[in-house]
Amino acid sequence: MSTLDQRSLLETISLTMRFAGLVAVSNFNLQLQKNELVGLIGPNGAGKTTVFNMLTGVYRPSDGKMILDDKPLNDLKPHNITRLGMARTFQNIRLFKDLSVLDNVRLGHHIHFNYGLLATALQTKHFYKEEASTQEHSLELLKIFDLEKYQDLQAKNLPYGAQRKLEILRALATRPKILLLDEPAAGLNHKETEELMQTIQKLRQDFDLTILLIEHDMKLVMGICERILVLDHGETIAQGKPKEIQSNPIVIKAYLGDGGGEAQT
Amino acid sequence: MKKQILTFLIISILLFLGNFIVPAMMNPYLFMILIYCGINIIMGVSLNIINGITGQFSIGHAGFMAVGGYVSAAISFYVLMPLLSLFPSDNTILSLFFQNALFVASLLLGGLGAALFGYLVGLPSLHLRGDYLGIVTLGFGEIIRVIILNLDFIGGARGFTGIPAWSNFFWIYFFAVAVVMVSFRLLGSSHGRALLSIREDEIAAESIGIPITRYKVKAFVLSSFFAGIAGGLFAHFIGYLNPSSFTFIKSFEAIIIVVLGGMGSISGAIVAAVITTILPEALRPLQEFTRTDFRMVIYPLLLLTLMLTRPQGLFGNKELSDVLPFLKRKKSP
Repeated sequence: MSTLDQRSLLETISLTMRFAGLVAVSNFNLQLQKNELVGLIGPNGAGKTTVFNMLTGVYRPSDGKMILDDKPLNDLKPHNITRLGMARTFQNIRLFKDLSVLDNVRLGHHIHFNYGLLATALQTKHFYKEEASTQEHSLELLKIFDLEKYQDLQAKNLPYGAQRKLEILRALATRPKILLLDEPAAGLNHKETEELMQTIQKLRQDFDLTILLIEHDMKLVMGICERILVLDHGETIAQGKPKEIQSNPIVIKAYLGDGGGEAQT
Repeated sequence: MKKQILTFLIISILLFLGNFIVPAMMNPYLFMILIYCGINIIMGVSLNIINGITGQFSIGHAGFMAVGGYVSAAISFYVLMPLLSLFPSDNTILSLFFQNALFVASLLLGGLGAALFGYLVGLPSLHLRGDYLGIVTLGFGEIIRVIILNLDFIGGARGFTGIPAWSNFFWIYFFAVAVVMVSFRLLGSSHGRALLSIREDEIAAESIGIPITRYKVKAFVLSSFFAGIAGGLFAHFIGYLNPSSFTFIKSFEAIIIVVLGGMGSISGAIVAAVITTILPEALRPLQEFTRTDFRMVIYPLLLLTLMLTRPQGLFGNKELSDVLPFLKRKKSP
């Protein structure tokens, strides 16, 4: 909506997702400004990944609107949304396991190559030029996380932390405006998480990215996010600066319960 | 580009010489096996594009071969032969050239016919996954066969006779080489990688912007085009087509080739095509020995043993160039 002074890059208006009676997400409103880094937190089953799945077209929202750069996203397929400039990673890593590390990143470039099947069959000059530039670009990306030494390795043989990084690189290779990270620090140790925090910051600057991330690691979320939204049972129960969220009684209640029975992970 | 034309010329000349030397070197029975090897290589390598590279399950490949075979046979019989008979057949180089050019045109049209069917089958059914797609393609193969059975102008159940025997060693191996080369090049391109990504993880593939349905249809169209060409080559070699050559058993032969060679491996498909063609024939002398036909007991047993000891197929998902690095080509024009 253009009622705002500053036009947001991504905007959702009362986004709702119902699965046969169960309301997974209701009335989700989000405005992402360019270059922002926003965190989406909440207890397990709060609907965070459902929000991602709606934004990337995996689920079609039952209600509400999503607008990216003035273009409505509601009826688009996932691959079209990627073309508009939104890329994501997955909670449980979804790499192309049997393909090489380099191929995984090269596949990220897929939407930017242009040569037809005929050029492939005849291996024209144009074909070689495109392939060479794809390769060069992919290797540059791999260097960010020091993965270029693994380029010929099958992705499934990478250590867990490197797999997470590779998935981020694959998403980056699509040259997105918005990057959605679904629990990027899950399964990483303390040191790796620390590294990841710095890298996310750096990526945002170098690639002029807007980042929305889901995370359970409070240190990471509080450390790098400028703004945080808290979901519980599909409702947005709070949003604001990390400091405000930390001391928000509703958030504490959602995480710890009334009498403080369950412990926070 | 120059190098490519050179390679093309060298292969053509070698095959052209082979066309005269090879049949003279062996008896007609062995030559026939060699020809079937070539046709089965095309069938195996083309099915590998769908089953191996894209990871879809198609068991209707014989249907596409039938379409290609009958379309090109019908074009040759009803259009090209009358056309050729208008000119005096004096066996000069010019008339031979003319005949071969028409033959290639007929083959390509047969391939296009099969590709059209690949598109028609692919479009509605590619939202299906795994076994469901398998059943649809199986049904399609049978429908094609039954339709042909009832079309009188192409012989129906009696079979289609009088197809000109224009096919020969040169053309069969020319197309086999072409199909293999296109397959390899496909695999090394962005198109091929997109197909592989569909096999690996459809959700992830969509998330990086790959239109998976469109690519599945592409795989089907390309694969059925090649199968159609195999059908045309077959028809013009035997000079006779019968619907019973295209039952689902034929489809299964193609699947055996892909699985035996290793899903996705082109070299594997080639080797497996040769093995599955030669093995049943090589076991024939055994028959004299045992006085009963144990061939079809031993052949499946061999396949069974191989699959039990090497479930990933002969080559797994490796290519010959992975094992013998000197075959690897440099990545430059």
